[in-house]
Amino acid sequence: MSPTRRRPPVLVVAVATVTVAFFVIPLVGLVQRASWSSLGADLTTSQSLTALRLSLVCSLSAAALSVAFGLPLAWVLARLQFPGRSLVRALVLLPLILPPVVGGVALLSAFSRRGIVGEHLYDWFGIQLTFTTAGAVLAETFVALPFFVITVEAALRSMDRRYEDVASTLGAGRWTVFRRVTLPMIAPSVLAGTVLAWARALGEFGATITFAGNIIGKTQTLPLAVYLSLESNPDVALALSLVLLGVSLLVIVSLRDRWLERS
Amino acid sequence: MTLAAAVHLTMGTLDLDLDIAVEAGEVVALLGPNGAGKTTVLRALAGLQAIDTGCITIDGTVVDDPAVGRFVPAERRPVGVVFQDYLLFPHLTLLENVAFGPRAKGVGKTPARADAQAWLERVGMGDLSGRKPRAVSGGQAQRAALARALATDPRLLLLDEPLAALDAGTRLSVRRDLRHHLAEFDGATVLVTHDALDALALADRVVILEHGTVTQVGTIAEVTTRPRSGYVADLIGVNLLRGEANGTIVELADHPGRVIIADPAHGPVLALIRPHAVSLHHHLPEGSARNHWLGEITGFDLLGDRVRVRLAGDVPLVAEVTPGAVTEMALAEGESVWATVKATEIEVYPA
Repeated sequence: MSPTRRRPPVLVVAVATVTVAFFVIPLVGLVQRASWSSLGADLTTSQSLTALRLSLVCSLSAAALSVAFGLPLAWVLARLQFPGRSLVRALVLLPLILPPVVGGVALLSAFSRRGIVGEHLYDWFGIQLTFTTAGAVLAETFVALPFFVITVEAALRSMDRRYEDVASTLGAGRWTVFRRVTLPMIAPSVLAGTVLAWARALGEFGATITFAGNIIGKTQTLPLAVYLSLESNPDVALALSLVLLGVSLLVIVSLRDRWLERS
Repeated sequence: MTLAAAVHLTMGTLDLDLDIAVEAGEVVALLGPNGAGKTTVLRALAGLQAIDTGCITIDGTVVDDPAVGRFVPAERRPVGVVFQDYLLFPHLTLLENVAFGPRAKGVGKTPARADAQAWLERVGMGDLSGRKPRAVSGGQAQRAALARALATDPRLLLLDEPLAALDAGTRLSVRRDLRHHLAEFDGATVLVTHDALDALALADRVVILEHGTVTQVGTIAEVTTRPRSGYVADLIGVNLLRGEANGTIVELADHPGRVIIADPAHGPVLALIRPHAVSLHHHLPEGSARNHWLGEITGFDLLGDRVRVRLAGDVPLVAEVTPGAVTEMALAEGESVWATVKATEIEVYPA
């Protein structure tokens, strides 16, 4: 309800409408162009099934790695005072805006068989990351981790730390305080960060194809399969796109309380 | 002595310097204005804030002594704290909140819960143990927080403004119950408050803390009959003037006026004038009162069936008169009036 009876600004509303259309029309096109009758068949082609399965494995692994490594990092960034902390935070968050293909090239220079780290991994342990599923997971984690860290760090900063003080005075050591007070209190943000990281990992394209390549069953995840089947089998590409669109919608709906204000 | 502490620390603009000793079974109130450093003292005693110099001993054990590099962290001190706003863990039930301490100290789940239930019953909250903190009232949260603090069997209990978050109605009954529970507690208690009534109702002794420094220590009776600072004087509603006595004349230190007293004194003194001893007149009266000062009325406060009239002038004062007198004399803000006080009505003691 408008508090005054003033007319809404016509020009601004018109531009806003155009902008909304700009977002909606491509999505409508996608839904309309998809051949719904053959959707089942398109999604169960062996290439589709392989890509779906692989994407699920890779994105869930990347999300799990993001939690395992992101939680301690978020805690350190939020709770410890050390010189260069803002620099560290900037570096960790860089993949948020870094073009994914650059991320892929960077990963190559570090973890390929001739990379600074990859060289030793191969020589000493015989581990090769490029062109493997582990490599795809690594690439996805690289782009997904910052989403988790930024979400959880913000939660750690904004929580009332006096609750941790209370727990200390009740005899709880650091680990107990974290496990029984801090973690439950930031649980909604940890969950949101995990979902965000997972969604980002699922959609990852540039870094994966650059670093891990495009090998069916090993590194060809959903987005790669979409891109490659666009030429050969557009119906499959559209069907797989619908799956990714559905997942994105699901994520938005599940996080609506965080992002979408209830009016 | 259950608690013996010399706390010295600097934090921001606060320069804290306080010595405090509390015996088992004794309740000491730390009374002072906001920003005096009261909460910081509690944090230092609890082990949430290290001191710069000094020494804290609880129950015979040194828990903080920077000189020898000793610091026992909060989780290993025999201290229970009731925090301001109570801070019950929102994700746990009242029972789990109270059982938290025993659990953290290694007690098994079942005995810890039984213990917690017993504590909740002692504070009259037994039937609400399954509720989450958001589903109980402020007074109930206060009781649960007290039970949680006592469930770890502390030797030192710290209460930070335990009644400040409550409305006037609940306050009275919660204060009465708190008094009862503190009487049963056999350890030492330090209570932080800015409310003189809380201190009066709950504490055996008060320590007045202003700007990080102790300005007065004593029983409630001692502190209220002989206040030593403007803060305490304001708190109990009396006029306190600081000055230099030379015979029966006191030259004020902070104001240009002088006060005539009955019995000769020498050196720095405090002169206490109770507001009801001050009379107001439109014209300079002829009478036996030795003190008469001209003052401008700066405001009125209604206090029960009395009106307190604030005066500014060479000797700033608060006078207490009846509402009838205000109407009859047509007293108004900005008006100048004569205030008189008999020399025998002024209590004088060394500063």
